Amino acid sequence: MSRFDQEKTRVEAVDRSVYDIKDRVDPSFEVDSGLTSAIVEKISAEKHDPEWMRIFRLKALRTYNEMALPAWGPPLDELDMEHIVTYVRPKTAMQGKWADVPEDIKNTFERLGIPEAERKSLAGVGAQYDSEVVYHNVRAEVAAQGVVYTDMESALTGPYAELVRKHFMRLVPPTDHKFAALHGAVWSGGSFVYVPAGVSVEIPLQSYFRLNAPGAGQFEHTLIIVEEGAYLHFIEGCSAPKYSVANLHAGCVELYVGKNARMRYSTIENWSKNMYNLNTKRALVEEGGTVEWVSGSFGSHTSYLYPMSVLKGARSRMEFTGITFAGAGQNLDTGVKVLHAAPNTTSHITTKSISRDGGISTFRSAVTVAPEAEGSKSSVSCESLMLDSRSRSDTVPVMDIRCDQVDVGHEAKIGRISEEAIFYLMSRGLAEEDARALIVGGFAEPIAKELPLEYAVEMNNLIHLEMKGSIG
Amino acid sequence: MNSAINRLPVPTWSWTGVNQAEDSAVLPELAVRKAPPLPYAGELPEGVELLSALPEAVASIPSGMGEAVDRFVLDHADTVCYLRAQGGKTVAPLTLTRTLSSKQSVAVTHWGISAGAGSALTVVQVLRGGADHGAAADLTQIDAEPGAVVRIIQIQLLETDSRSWSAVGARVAEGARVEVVRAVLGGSVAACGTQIQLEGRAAEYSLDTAYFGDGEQSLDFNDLVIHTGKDTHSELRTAGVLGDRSRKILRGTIDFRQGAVRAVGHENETVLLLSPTARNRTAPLILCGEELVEGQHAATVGRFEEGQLYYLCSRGLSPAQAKHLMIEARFAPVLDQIPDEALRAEILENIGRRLGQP
Repeated sequence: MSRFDQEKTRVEAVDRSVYDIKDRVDPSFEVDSGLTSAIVEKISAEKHDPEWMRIFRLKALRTYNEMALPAWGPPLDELDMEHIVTYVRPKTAMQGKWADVPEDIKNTFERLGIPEAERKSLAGVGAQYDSEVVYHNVRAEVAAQGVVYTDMESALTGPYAELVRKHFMRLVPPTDHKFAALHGAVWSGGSFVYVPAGVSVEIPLQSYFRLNAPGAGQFEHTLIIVEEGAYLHFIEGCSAPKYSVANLHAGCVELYVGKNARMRYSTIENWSKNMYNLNTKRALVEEGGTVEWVSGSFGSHTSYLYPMSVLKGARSRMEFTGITFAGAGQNLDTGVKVLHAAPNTTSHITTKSISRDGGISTFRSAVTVAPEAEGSKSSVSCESLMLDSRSRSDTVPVMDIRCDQVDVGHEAKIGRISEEAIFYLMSRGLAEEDARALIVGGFAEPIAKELPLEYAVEMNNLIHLEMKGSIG
Repeated sequence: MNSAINRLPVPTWSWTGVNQAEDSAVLPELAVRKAPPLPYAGELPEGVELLSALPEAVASIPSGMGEAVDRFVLDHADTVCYLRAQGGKTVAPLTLTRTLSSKQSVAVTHWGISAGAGSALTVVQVLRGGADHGAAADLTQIDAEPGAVVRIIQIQLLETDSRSWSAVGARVAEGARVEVVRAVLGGSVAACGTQIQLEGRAAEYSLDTAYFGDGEQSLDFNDLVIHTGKDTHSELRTAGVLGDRSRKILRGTIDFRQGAVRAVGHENETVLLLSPTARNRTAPLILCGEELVEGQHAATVGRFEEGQLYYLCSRGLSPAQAKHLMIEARFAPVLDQIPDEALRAEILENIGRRLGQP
């Protein structure tokens, strides 16, 4: 057996069905499908919201009803809110020990490798199941540094309530777009992280979001505040089993990166292919601060995902490294937005996209340099790979430059796998399918190397899985 | 009919303002023209004849500015120039100059070019002059039959009291080539749009644009090339300078349709900003429905390159002279393709005057 045969055997051993295992749907409570003020009031009451949040939700609902669907991007015609259940509470309260999590839910997270990852390489874990967080824990030594890592509901009423109120949906107001308004109305779950000034969290925190109920929506809110001179790496994972009905994810991530602080936000998104992933992520970066986005989009039926960075402070920086892999039945519209709003700010954007088997991948971006951002620099590099002619790959970038003392560069390439490279690898004994997978793996390598090892392996496995059957 | 001008082929966030031209580019309201347009009355190069009516194959070709502008020109054209080029190599260009003045504040020209197999034709379209609320619009429709070569050179030197709209549409057959060269220097609003369909095998297209905006000028470009034929090739090159409170939007789209195997499309843009109040917007799209293609886009936006400035100053030029030279260099690829020495000199004089000769 050659070493390439062994490689293939190892790849086949990775089973996508781990994401598709469905638990029995047995919630302790769920609202009716649809979206009405009565449903929003019910969610608010069930979650014991403070009064300001109840009012906030109702106002966001009004905004949602007043706003139109986007006039751009993939079709959303088949997303019918009348058939989406916006709140499904699992049959457990949040636990601090995996042993206390109900067996079936715990087994799902075990299969996804979350408790193991927590033991090996994470400083803390939050696990959300449908609409509520079922497990949250942070290592004692990290907590001892003053780091707060908890679920949003606890944060909303606990000692950090005022801090949450001051920051909640200020970066992404409900008026931002229709699905931000939806989020504001029905959000539930998610994580709150506070890293005090000067504290460096050496190993990552991770939140994992699992949606089990068919026809349901998940609307978790992640709010992270990294104070001056602090550092945090936060990892977000998500998956769901595949159903024949549409599911919806409209989460929201708000990152506040303080002066000279650094924040890395990594995501491996592997939602099922019946999911509408309409997620909003945004970072506000103060003077000398850095935000780094690492994003892998593999799942979902339809995605709208464009993490945005507002470089508010002088010399603040943003780096974005992303990959999107669109396969059969997928229409993934992903990209990035950055606003240079202060002098000497810097952004570097590197993206790769792969389309195959009828999948549609669109890279969409906006780089805006405000008049006051003298001395700023921005570079965008976007590469797309087409694996067959049934697929599509589109690139839709915009640059808006309102300042003369800047250096802005953009380059985009689109093409196919080189036949010469395949021929060379096949002449060395690889089957064509393996040669293609190897080349695609190499194409994605700049992204993989930015991820923690375990997640880079997961991404490579996903690529190999997606590449299986790509010949013929 | 959609009244939007220069629509981005695939819309994006509306707040970027690039999905269509700004309101300042709205077409003027003109009374319906009762008199028939006058046919071109100038000299014709050898091998070119004037047509009394435009063949349907040419008339059906859409431009890059959209239906509203195409319709506007058809409804209001005061001059038409319908040409048929036959086989053989035509050397002499055909030049038509439209000049706005207080006596003629509006000029609307409809061009139709039917380039026969193996023919070659160069058309130079010059706009100059100005008038209070002056307006100049033209539509150029080109049907390039197999092996034909059509070159359109557009030079816009209007004064800043006038606006212009320049729409081009072309269908390019096997082995044929269309070249568009344009220098956009004047007008309070200058809107241009090209849509080129590379249908035949090995059809080719090149676009060279140079612009200079200052004062309150608004420049708006929408250039789309659609590759449907195999082995087709496109090159889109844009270079420009923006000063004062001028603003510019460039939409450049390379659209590879399924079946356009081995098609190659390249797009390149460089923008030099001379003022902190100038605004540049660029939306370079690559749309791809075919696996076996090569598409690339590159753009650079910014200030004078310090290394180049230093080098030129070390050779004895003053900083102002060095900057002047670097700005002129952006026009070089366009100037090189203008056959008339006097026109080249006029463009350089225009740039020099606006920069203030060092």
